[in-house]
Amino acid sequence: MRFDIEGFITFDTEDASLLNLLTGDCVELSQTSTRLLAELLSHRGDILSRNEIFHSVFDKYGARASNSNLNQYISTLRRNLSELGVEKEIITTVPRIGFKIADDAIIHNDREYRTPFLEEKTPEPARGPSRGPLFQRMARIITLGFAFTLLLIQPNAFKPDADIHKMVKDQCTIFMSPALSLLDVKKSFDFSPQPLDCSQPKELYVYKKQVKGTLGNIMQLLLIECNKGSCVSFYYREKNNV
Amino acid sequence: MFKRVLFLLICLALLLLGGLYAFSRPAVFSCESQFSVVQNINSDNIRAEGMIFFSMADDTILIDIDGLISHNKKISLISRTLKIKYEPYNADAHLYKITSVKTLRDATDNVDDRIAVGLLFGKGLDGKIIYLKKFNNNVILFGNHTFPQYGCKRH
Repeated sequence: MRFDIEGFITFDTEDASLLNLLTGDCVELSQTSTRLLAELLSHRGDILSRNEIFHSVFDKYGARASNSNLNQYISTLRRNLSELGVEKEIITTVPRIGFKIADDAIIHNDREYRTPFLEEKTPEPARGPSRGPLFQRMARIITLGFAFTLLLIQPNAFKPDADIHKMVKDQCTIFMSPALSLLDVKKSFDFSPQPLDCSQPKELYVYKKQVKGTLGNIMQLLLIECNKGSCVSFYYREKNNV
Repeated sequence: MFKRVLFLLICLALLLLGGLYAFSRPAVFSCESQFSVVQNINSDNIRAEGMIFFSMADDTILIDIDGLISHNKKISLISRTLKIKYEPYNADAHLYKITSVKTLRDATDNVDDRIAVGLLFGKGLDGKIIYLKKFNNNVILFGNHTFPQYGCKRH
């Protein structure tokens, strides 16, 4: 995080440094000083008691907390700021309580501070970012809806029927065993009371099994004719000894 | 923060409901068709014609049949409902084993059960292997262990 102090000092908590933007002078801070100044600047407007500072700056990081130590760090920070040209007393002492950032100090952090030249160059943000959460939410809802739909569809609905061959003749869509040909389909209708008629759109399902052996003949045939949702099935079975 | 948590909870609830619905609903499939059977085994001839209704769930088939049967030129009426419970026998070959059959005969039904069994609608089907196949998810084929004998398409 970065803080701007009095408009010309930048305090970078990552670099642990104070930089005068006008002169380029830089002071490196110790880790404890950095934590202390960051803690005070983050709570500007509030009084931080010595105990609060002990806990959040020293104890939490295993450093030795004492009044003299704290006074020493405060004194160092004041001197650093003064050396960089800050005439105002930024860190003020609240007697018998602790410390605070002076009320008249001008402090900004990088979330609220923009230098004027940056503001001029940066175009006004598009309205996109404000819509971001809405789009994200919509995307989540769509994803959820898709997942919900997948749950409703049974997997076996997509199981391919490898043992069925599809063929189109005139207006007939014929589903049949792969071993059968169109001629077999035509011949199969010789057993049926109705001849093969493909002048109208319809679906035909044809299964046929025939064995002509030395002991006799075995044949089974199933024809299903579906036209506009209504079906007629015809089953023929023949088994003859020689 | 609260809105995010609420949104997440709604998403989870929807997902849970969808999952429960998908996994608990019975996959019912039903259709009706006209049928015609011609069976000539040596000198034994059977002809049958009528209407057949199928309703198939995960482990049960309900068959409603109404028609005429001619056995060696002797005509009888068939009008009955069968509730067949089955279990997979060889699902890849579309073969299923009948575990129980409950037959409800109409008063007009006077067909000999031996003939009805031959057409897969009689008593004594327990333990038999049947052919059962759903095709394109809208056509059902039903038959004996060697061949499909009946079929219909879902409206």
